Amino acid sequence: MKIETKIYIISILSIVFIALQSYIYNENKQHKIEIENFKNFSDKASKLIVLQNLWDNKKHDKKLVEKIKKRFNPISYSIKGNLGKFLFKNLSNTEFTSLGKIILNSNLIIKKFDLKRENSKISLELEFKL
Amino acid sequence: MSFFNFQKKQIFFVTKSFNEEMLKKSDIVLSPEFYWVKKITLNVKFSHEVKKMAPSLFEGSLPHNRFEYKVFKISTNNFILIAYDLKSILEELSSMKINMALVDKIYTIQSEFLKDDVSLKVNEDFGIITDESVVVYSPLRFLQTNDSVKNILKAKKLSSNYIYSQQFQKINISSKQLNIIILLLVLLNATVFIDIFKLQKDKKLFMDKKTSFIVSNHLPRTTFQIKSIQDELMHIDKSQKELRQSIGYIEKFRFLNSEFFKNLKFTKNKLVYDIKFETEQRENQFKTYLDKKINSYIFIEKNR
Repeated sequence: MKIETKIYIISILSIVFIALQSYIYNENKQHKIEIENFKNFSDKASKLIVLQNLWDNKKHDKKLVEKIKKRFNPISYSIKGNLGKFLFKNLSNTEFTSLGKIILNSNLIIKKFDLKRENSKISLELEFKL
Repeated sequence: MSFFNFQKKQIFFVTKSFNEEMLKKSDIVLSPEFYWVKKITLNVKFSHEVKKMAPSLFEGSLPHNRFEYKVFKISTNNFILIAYDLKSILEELSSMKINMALVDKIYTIQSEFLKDDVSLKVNEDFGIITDESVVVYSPLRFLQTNDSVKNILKAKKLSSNYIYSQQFQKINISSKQLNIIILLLVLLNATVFIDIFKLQKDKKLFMDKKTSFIVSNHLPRTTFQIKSIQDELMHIDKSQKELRQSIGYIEKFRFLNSEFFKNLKFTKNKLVYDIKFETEQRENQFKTYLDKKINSYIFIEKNR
């Protein structure tokens, strides 16, 4: 092979090498940006998942609503879309205390909490979002 | 530097009796006196196959074995072989008082008239003529021509089949070293190729991971969508936690046995209470307690 042919081959290989390196450099840069974006995304997503588990866990909420219905026997109960309503009457102090604890410790989104006492009996109107 | 020298160079046809003066950068075309030429017919397809056999094809006709070879295919199975000793040629040209610093490239007349039959005058006594594809140096009396090789070359564009180039002679590096550089570059390129392959694989894995994370957590695809849902849930989180905290604070107040809630109503972030207190002083105590504890997002007021 002629010396000049070899020099041409070296030049071409060098150009190819520089081009490939530059491609790798750009790809790496892009890749790092994507990883950074994903970290950012996953941080936000993790916070969202925690919040969703707290306030958007319909399955859990439905179970709880069923439990309250069975245990405290509301006068009326309705659910329209994701909005639920309970009306309790003649609750004793003890019953109210235990119902109140369940509701306030739950993750039901309370829209309305209306307690009234007549004589020694308590009535409670509760609106919540599932 | 000649890389950027676009000025047309002079072309000299050089015979062993050459005596012209070279004043600027020029190319030289050698007469057949300086090298050996052979036409052969071989049942092979490519010139490089013939080149491998060149030493044996010239065996017995060359004075030593330090010759270099050029092979040209002129038609199917027909090849022209040139054998030349570059070192001797350069020494001979120097001895002819040719300023080698001005010689850019050296060609053979054979390579420049491969497919044309020529019959040209070189000087008053000699000329060149193509005889069965081989350009030979011949007494002028055997030729019937008035065309001069000098004039023809003046207008001719020379081929890339030179046997010497000043540019490449200046590079003081051996063929072995060049081979090592080529090998290194090939290895470097291969390494970079492997890197690219790995990078692409990593990227694919990462994208798959991202997709499966999004799918398994039922998440929207963009950070913007996530932020919007998150803001909405944060608002719920804040108001619901404060409602619970507020009720907790109220509950922790030390009520007397005779004190009780008449009503407690929460709606639209407003908590309204009506508590029966023993005395007005007790009621004020409760208000002070609330003011200390709650600085609130939930607005608390007494029912009137």
